[in-house]
Parts: sequence; structure tokens; C-alpha cells
Amino acid sequence: MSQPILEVHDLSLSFSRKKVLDRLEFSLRRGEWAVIAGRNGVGKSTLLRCLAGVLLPDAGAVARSPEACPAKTGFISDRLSLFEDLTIGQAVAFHRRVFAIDDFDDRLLGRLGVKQKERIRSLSAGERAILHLSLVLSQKPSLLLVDEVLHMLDPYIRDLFIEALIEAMTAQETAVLTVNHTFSEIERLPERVLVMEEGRFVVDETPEALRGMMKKVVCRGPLPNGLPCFFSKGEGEYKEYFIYPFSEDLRAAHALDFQDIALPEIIKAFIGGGYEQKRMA
Amino acid sequence: MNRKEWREVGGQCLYFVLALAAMALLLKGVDLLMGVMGFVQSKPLEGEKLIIILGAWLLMFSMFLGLSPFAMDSKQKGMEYLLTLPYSRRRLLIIKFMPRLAAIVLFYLAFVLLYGSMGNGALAGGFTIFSLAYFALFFISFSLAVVDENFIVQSIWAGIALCGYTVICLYIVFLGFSWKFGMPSSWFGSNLWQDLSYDPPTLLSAIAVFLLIAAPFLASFFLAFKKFDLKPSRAFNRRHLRIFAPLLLLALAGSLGVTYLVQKSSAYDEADFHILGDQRLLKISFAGKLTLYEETGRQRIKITGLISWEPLLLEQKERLFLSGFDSKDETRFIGCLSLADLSWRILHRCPNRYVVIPGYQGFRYDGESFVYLRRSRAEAERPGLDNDPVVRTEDMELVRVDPAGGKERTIAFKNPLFNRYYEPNFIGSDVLNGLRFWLVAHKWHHVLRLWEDGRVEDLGLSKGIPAYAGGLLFTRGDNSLKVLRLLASGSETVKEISGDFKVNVFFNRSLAIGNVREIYVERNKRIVRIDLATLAVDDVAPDRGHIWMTSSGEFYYVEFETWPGGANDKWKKLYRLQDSKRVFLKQFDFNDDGYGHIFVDTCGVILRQVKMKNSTVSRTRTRAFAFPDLHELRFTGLN
Repeated sequence: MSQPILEVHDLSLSFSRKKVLDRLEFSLRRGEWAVIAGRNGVGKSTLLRCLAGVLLPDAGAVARSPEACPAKTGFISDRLSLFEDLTIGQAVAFHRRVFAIDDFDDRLLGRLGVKQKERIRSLSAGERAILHLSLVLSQKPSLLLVDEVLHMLDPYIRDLFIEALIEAMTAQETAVLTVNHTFSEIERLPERVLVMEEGRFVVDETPEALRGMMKKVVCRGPLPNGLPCFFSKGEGEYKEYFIYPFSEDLRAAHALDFQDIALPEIIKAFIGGGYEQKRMA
Repeated sequence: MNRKEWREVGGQCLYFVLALAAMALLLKGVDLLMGVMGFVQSKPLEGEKLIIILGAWLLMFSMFLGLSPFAMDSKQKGMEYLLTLPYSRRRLLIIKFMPRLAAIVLFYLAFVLLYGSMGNGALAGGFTIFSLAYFALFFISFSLAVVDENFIVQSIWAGIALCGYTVICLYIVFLGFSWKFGMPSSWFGSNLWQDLSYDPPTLLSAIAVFLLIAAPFLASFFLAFKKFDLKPSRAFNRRHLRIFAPLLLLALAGSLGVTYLVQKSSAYDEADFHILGDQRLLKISFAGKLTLYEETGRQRIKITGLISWEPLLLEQKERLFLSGFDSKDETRFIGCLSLADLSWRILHRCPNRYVVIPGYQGFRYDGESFVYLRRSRAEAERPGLDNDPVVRTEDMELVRVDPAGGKERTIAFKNPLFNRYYEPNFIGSDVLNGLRFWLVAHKWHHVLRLWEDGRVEDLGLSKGIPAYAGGLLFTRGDNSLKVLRLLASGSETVKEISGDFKVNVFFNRSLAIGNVREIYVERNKRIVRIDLATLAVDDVAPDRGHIWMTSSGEFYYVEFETWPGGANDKWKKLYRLQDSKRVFLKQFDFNDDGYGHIFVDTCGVILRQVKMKNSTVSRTRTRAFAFPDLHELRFTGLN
């Protein structure tokens, strides 16, 4: 197993009195794709900004390997922050100068048909996302941090985006850490799924492991005792119960139909469970 | 990144220059339009006014540039992108700082050039304060560039910080004055700053203070910026303040220390000395001190008020009449000190609603009364930032104050010529056919005779301050001296003497110089005697010094070792001028006590020696010599 390219120890950050990151710990290896999920306001984007250097933690440390220095770290925020008064050509020239980039691959931009003289403020969200991706990929980054941008993109651009990420991972063994709410396009891509709750990770598993750890039961009436129900939904006669953590012993003990569920639904259950816990707290 | 910043700063500078040009064109356009429409007479924008407008504009520009380093990035929603660039926080700040500092310096140099060419007197002694405030405002504003996201809030904070900064700096500077002169700092106001801004120690210590107090703003910002991020600004501001406060205290201590050391080492006692008839010595220190010296000791005379003294007005029997300005109620006054019991009383106060001619030229003695000219302050103009108001109206009052009881009498005059006389000087007074008159002149203008009955007579032009003695008026023309005899109405020219004359010896506070029969003046760089009976002109000697006339009408001549005097001079010689002869009286040797200044008075001569070290006054020494034999008077505690 390769050495971690990024290690986070005891990371804490607060906004005023509100604790957003609470002694968070995790690490990321070279070439690994991890996705962070969780409900709104739980600290996902804050974590990414912290790792990118936009926010500075109140406590804890972010240790990077030399290959993940700031010049080799790319960050695409959900705000797609760039200097909006610049034209595409100026932005590319600026980025190349600052990051000492010899050549710039404009294939992605070319496929969108945008002109070099267009100002960034006049681009759509999708075009801006592709531009931003082109810029950070030109750095040949060892670490790529991508906040939730996929939902802004049309299906064509979304595919372009994902293809570019995959190409970077393949060619440069770029470690990718993304924040996602939707998993339908990328279900098979990430190697790790991290679910965030109350400023720390409550789940850190591979997708396969997660599918084995959560099952769904549809019942009429209440759930039998002894089953660890993480989350339930449904208002009608039948209710869906999400069992977590699931083990094969439970299947033997209860004559119920434990259904396999897809990753997107697992994530949704974790998020829903998080909201329920917040309501009950 | 550097190129981007330089381009951005260049754009901001261009914007300011264009805005300034547009404003100037607009002002000019409005001015012309008003002129065309006949509302006002179109006048060219004076250089000094332009400099003041430019100065104000520059201060705004300084603040704007200081507050702007992250404004464009924020406006373009590029702050996150900026913070992910491969620069440390410190390097980022330097990249932001350097182009802006360069622009500030460039604009300042351009302003200095303009100031030198067109507005030299516009800011008076305030040019130093303006320069310091200009740079300080930039540093302070830069340090507040991230205090809030809102530019208006930033500006308000910058304004508040600048006010606090200025107050602290000026307080320390005024403390320095008090250490320099040994007086409470509450005495000193902006007038003093204007005078002392040319004093090297004051200037140096003031610059040090302004820079030292500005340093914590910038230093703390650079130190705090290491932890700058996009969290709400309150967190960063708290951290910034925690670093700023101790640095400010350190800077305060440093400023006070520097000021104390510099000003104390150049302590200076600006004073006038007068030998009195009883051979005591009166020392009038400008910042409120009166001291009487005797052989056995000295006595400090306590006078209430914040008084700036003028030279002695009159010594009469056992009384001394002094005039001055009381900063407490901003009035000018004449007071009387009894030499018998050292009691003090105010004889007359000129109400603040009037403007009296400034300086020792204001109150004079005409042989019977104290006199002065005054005008209504409400009609004063204030060109530039000169604190002395200028009044140019047709009305003027002459006030006579009786030395015995202080009774006053006012004579009102009205004449169109007065509106050219904003600083009329008394040059003489006399009585003709039982009626008193006073002669009033202003450089390059007509001599006016003000009669006791309210009449005003124009006695003709004088190119230079004229003189009056023995019933004769001496006015200056082009390379000549005109002698006029004053008649009951008008005058007659008695003689015109060719030559380049200087008659600037008649400036005693008393206009009554007695029955003189001769006067001594400079012609073509030589001392000449003019007999007042025959108007014969006799050559006396080359003029390599100063001619003095005492209030009793005696003439003396102080000869310099080198003319016009050098720092290495070792002596000056005193002569009596009488009957066309120059009679040697005494040589005053300076030894190593510093360059000597001679002051000749009715009762004797004062020698004041000033020793300089590194352009500052390191020591002063005063010696007094009494007439008629110029024996030295010894006073305990004088030096």
C-alpha cells in the first residue's frame, strides 16, 4: 500500500461558536478516489476549503507529502472561484504564469466551443466548471479537491468532467477527493465513501463494504425487535427500514426480505438518518 | 501575479487622475459659465487653492489605494482562487503592497514638484504634517484592508484610526515642545507647529514619531495575515488586535523616548532681554514666562493665562508696559507690571471680534498713549491656511489707550485706500497745530496720515517702508530717497536724494523718538548721515553690520567681523554714530561660546551667544552691558 499523500490529524474548525469540524481524522493515498457525502451544513465544503488552504483550521494538522505541495494541489470549489473580469485567454495565461505551466491542454474547452476572448463572468456554470478543471489539470496535480459541482452540469459536460478526472487519475495517479450529493454517474468510480456527520466522519468504507453493511426491509407495521434500524421512511401502510449495521446473522434470525440497495440509496439513508438524529437531539 | 497587481494599481491611478482632471474641468467650466452669465468675475484658479484641492484629493487617493488590495479580487469573486495560488500569505501581501507603495511615492513626488512651482505657501508649516499624514493614511488603510467586506465600513474604520493616530502623534510632538521649552504642552497650538516645523530637531522627532506610531499598524497586519482566511472577518480582526495592541504600546514608548531625547538635548529658550533703567534685566520668554534678574538672584513673575509675550512696550518710571496674546480667550492685551511690588494688571484688552496687526508692530506708543489699529474680524479673509486673518475693507479703527488708567478712545476711519492695507505699519506720530496725527504705511503703497479728527490724507507712494523723524517724512522711490515736510494739509517735497537707500532702522515700539537732529541710514551699502536741519548727506563708513536707533533717538552701529556674518566669526564691534563720526565703544568677543547676536537698547547692550551642534542649539549664553560705559552686568542664574 502506498504512503498517504494527505493526512489529517485532529482537525477542528469553528465559525463563531459553531463547531464545523471536530477533531477530524483521515488520510488519502496516491491515485485514490474518495467521495465525501453528508447532509447540508455538516462541513463537507469547509473541509475541502481547509485542505485547499482557503480556510485555516483552529486546531489540528494537515500533513501533505512533498508531491502534494500547493502548486500540485488543484481545488475546484462549488463557487467556481476565478477572476471574473479576465477573459478565458487571460485567465489561462495568468494560471500558467503563476503555476509555471509549460503547456496547456485546451481540448476540453475546445469541445465546448467557447472563445478565448470571452469574459469568465459571461460563461455558464458548466463552461466555468470545465475551464476551472482545465486550469487545475494543467498543473498535473497530485491531489485534486472537487467540491459539489456535478449537479450544475448538463449531462454532456458532466460526462466530459468525469472523463477528464478519470484520465488524470490514470495518467498521473492523482488522488481525488470529491464532495457529492448525487451518485448515479459515479457509483462505480470512488474507492472510498466517507459520510460526514457533526464535523467528523462516521463512515469510511469501500462501496462494496457499504452495500454489505446496509440492507433494506419493507414492512407492514413496526419492525421486529432486535433489528438495528438506522433510518426509516414511508407514511403509508408499508414502511422502508434501513438496517445498519447489517450482518448475515440477522438474515438467519428474522424471516424478512433483506434487500440489497444501491450506493445512492445508502447515502440517502445516511443523510436521512443524520437529519433524524439532529431532530431528536 | 505581480504583473496583475501592477496593472490593477495602474488602472486605479489612471482612474484617479482622470477623475481629478474631470473635476478640474468641471470647476473651470462652471467658473467660466458664471463669468459669461455675469454672476461673478471669472478669476484664474490660484496656485495655492489648486494645491490645497490636490492635497485633499491625494489624501483620498492614499486611503483608497490602501483599502483596495483585495477589493478587486473580492469583486471578481476570486478570493478563494487567490488563496489557493502557490504563494505564502506573507508573499501575497508583499505582492499587494509593493505596487501600491510605488504609486503612493510617485504621486507624492509629483505633488512635491507642483507644490514647489505653484503653491509654496499654501500649506505653510503644514506641508510636513500633510506629507506624514499622506503616508500614514496609506499604511493605516492598508492594514485595515480586510477589516470588513464593505468598503464604506473599511473607510470609516480607516478614518477613525487616522484621527486617533493623528491625535496621538500631535500630542507627543506637543509634549516634545513642552520639554524643549519647559512649558506645559497645553500651551502649544497649530501656530507654533508652523513656526517649529522648520526647526531640525522638531522636524526629525516629529517624523520619527509619525513613522513609529504608524509602524504597528503595518507590522501587526503583516504578522496577523499569516492566519488570514475566508472566515468571517471578526476572527481575523481579533487576532490582528491582539498583535497590534502591544506593538502600539511599544511604539508609544519609543516615540516618547525619542522625542524626549531629541527635544531635551536641543532645549531652547526663545526670549527677549531688556536692560531696565535700574540696571535690572527683564527676560521675556515667549511661552508665558517673565523673569526679573538682579545681581543677587532672579524672580519669576507669575501671570495667569496662556500668554505669548511680545517685546517690551514701554518702561516708564517704576512701571513696565507689556503686550501679548492670551490663548485662553484669544485676545491681545496691554498690561502693566509695577517694578515696586511686581504686581500685574491688565490695562486694556482688544476684544476678540477685532483683528489687530500681528507681532510687535501691533501696539505702539506715540508719546502720550498706546495706539493700535484694528478691524472687524467678521470681514477677514483667509487665503491658504495662514492663521493670521487678512482684512481688506475701507474701515479701520485707531484705538488710543491711556497708560495711566487704561482709558480708551476710538477713532473710526474710512477710506478706499485701506482695502490695500491688510498689515498697515505705524511709522510715526506727531502733533501739528494742536492736532495729533499718525503716519501709517504699507510696503509698496501710499503713506497715509490719520488725523485725530478722523481725516485721512494720502501723502504719496513709497516703494519700501518709509521713515519719520524731526517733522520730515522720508519715502523711497526708484533709486532715491524723497524728503517731505508735512504741512497742516498735505506735504511739500524738500529734497530728493539719489541712491539705493535702506531706512529700516525705525522700528522701536515707541513712535516718540525725541528731538533728533540727525539720522543714519544705509545708502549704496554705506552708512550715511542726514542732517535734519540742512538735509546734508555725509558719508560715514562702509556698512558691514546693522544700524540701531534707540527710543531716545541715539544711533549705534554694530560691525560684523565678516559680512553678512559667518558661523566662525569671533567678534562684533559696537560704535556710537554721532555728528558723522563712528565712535568705537566696545568689541564683543565670542570666544568659544558660540555665535553672538547683539541687541542695542536704550539702557545697554545684550549679547546673546548661541552654540550649535549638528544643526541644533546645544547652548545659549546671555550677557548684558549697561550704558554709558558698557560695563558688564552680572546676574545670578542668568545662564
